[in-house]
Amino acid sequence: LERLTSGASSGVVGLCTAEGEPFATRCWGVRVLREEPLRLRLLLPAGSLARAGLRPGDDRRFALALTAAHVVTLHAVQAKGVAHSLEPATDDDEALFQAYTTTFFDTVNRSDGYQPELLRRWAPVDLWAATLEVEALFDQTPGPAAGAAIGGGGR
Amino acid sequence: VSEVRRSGLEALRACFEGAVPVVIATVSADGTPNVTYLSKAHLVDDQRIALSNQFLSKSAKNLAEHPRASVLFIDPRTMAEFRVEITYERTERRGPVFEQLRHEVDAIAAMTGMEDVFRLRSADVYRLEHVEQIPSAERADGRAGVIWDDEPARDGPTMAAVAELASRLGRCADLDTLVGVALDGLEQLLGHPRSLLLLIDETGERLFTLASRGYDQEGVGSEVHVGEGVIGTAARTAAPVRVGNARQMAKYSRSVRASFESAGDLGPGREVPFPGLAQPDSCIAVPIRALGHLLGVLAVESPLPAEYTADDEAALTVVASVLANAIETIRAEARDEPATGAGPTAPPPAAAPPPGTGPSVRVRFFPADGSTFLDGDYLIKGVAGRLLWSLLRQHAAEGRTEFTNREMRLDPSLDLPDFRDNFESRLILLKRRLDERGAPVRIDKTGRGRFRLVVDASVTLDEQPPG
Repeated sequence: LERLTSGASSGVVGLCTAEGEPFATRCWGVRVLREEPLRLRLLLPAGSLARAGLRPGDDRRFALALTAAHVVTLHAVQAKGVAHSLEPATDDDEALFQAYTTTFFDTVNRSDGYQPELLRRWAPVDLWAATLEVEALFDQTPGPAAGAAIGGGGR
Repeated sequence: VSEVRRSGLEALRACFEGAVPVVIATVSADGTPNVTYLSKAHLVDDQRIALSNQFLSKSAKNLAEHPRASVLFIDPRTMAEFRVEITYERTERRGPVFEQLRHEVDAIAAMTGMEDVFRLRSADVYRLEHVEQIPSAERADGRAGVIWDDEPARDGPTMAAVAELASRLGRCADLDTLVGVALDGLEQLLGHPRSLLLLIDETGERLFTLASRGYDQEGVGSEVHVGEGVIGTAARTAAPVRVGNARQMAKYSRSVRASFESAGDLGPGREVPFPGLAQPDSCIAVPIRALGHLLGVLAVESPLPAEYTADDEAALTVVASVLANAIETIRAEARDEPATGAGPTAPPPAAAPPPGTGPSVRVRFFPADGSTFLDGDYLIKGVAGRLLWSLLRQHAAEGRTEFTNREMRLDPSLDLPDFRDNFESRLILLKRRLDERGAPVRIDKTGRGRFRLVVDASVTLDEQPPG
C-alpha cells in the first residue's frame, strides 16, 4: 500500500476502452478508501480520460491497471481491478494532488536531476477521480520476478 | 501546443534515448489491461519502433492475444509527453534492427557486469497507428493549460566544423600537439566541452587516458579495462556507443541485479563508473582505428539527458578516423627517424640546482611493473614509468639531459614490444603526467624526435628490489 500511495512512486495507468483497446495515462495521487478488500481512489488527468471516451457521471465501470514504481529503486507493484464512480476532483483530492506532486517532483529532481519547474509542465490542470476495486496485486519490479502475484489483493 | 500533433516518429527522436522510462499499456483477450515500464524503446524508422521483450512476460502474452499497445513517451529536454498507438508487425532474431537493439542491450550489460543476464533474444517490431502530443498542463477539454516557449535544442555538428577540425589535425606534426588540437577542436568547433582521449596499452587489455578536457582533474594515466563501461565497450566491439540515459540505465541495472541476487541467481557484481563526470547522463565513445587496429577511444560526455544525436556520433567517428591516421603516421615517422637527428633544437635550460641545495625529490621505482612514485605519491607505471627511471638514471650517472626518441626506443629496460611499440604515446603520457603533477622533473620537446629532460630539483633514486 505504501508503494501504491507514496509520492516517491511514479503512477501509470492502463485502461481498456469501450472499443476494447488499451489506453495509457498517468495517475497523480492515490488514496486508500478501504484496505480489505482493497479500494483505492485515483486522481487521473481529465483531458486524457475524455480522449479515452470517459466522462464523469456516465456510470460506466471499466477495467483498469495501476502500476506504481519507486522513482529511485524502481520497486514496483501493479493493482488490477474495476474502476467506477468517475467524478471531478474535490478539494481534498486537490490537496492530495499538491502533496503528491511536491514529493514526486522533488524525488525525481534528486534522483534524475530534472528541475521541478520543468517537471511541473507534465502535471495536468484538471483532474477526475475514480474508485478502483482492486482484484489482484502483482510485483512489477524489473527482473525475473516481474509479474508474480502478490497475495491478498482483494476479493 | 493546444493542437494534438499527428505525424511520424522522427519528431520524437529524443524520447527514444531512454532518459525517461517508456510506459506501455496492453489488454488481454478478455479486456484486462496491463501497464508497465520499459527501460527503452528503439526507433526503427518514422513509422516503426522495436521493443525487446526481456522482462515483459504479461505484456508479451497480451500482445499475442491482442496485438495493439498504447505507449507514453516523454521528451527529456522539454517534458513534452506523447501517446503513441502501435500494432505488432513482426519479430526479428537477426538483421540490422536486431543487431542495433542487441548493441544497446550489450552496452547496458557491460556497464553492470551482467552480460549473462542482459542477452537479447528477439526484437519485436511495431507499426505506428497514431501519435498525439498530450498538452502540457492538460485541461479537461484537451487544451494546454500553459504554452511554453522552449529554447531551441543544442546545435548539432556541421560538415564545415568537422572539415575545419580535420584540417587542423592534418597540420599537427607530433602526438602531443595532435592530442591537444583534437580536444580543443571538439570544444570549439563541435560543442563538446568535456572529452577524453584514451589509447590502448601494449597488452591490448587496458586503455589509458592520454588527455581530457572539462574536468577538475585531467586524469592522465587513469585506466579503463577493455569491455568495461561505455568506453571499454566501444573498444571491445570496435563500434561507437551512444548513451543518453546513463542514470536510468544505472537504476534499472541495479534493480534487476538486486532482483536476481534475491532469487539467488547471481552473485555480487561490479558497477563500472563512467570516467570523468560523477553523474553524466549522456556519453558517446567511438573507437580510434587505423589499418584495422584499435589505437584507442575518443569520448565525450554531458550531465544532461539525451544530449547527443546520431549526427554527433557520426561527426565524432569522422574525427576519430582522422586522428587514427594521424597517430599512425606520426608513429611510423618516429620509427624511421635516425638515432641522432639534425635540425633546430631548443636552447638549453638553466642548470639544475646542485645537490644539497634547492628543492629535492625522492623517486621510488618498482621494476616489477614500472610503478614510479614521487615523494611517496604514485606517478605512473608500465613503459612510461620505466622510461622515466631510465632517463633519471642516465641524468644521474652522466648528467645527460638531451635524448632522442630513437635511442630510447632501443633501450631494452623499457621492455617495449617489437611490433607497434607505442613509444610516442607513452612519452607523451609521461610528459603530460609530470606536467599535471607540477613535478620538479619535466620533459620538453626540443625538435623532431628529440626531447630534453629538465630537472629542477635534487633527485634521489630509490629502486625497490623485486619481490
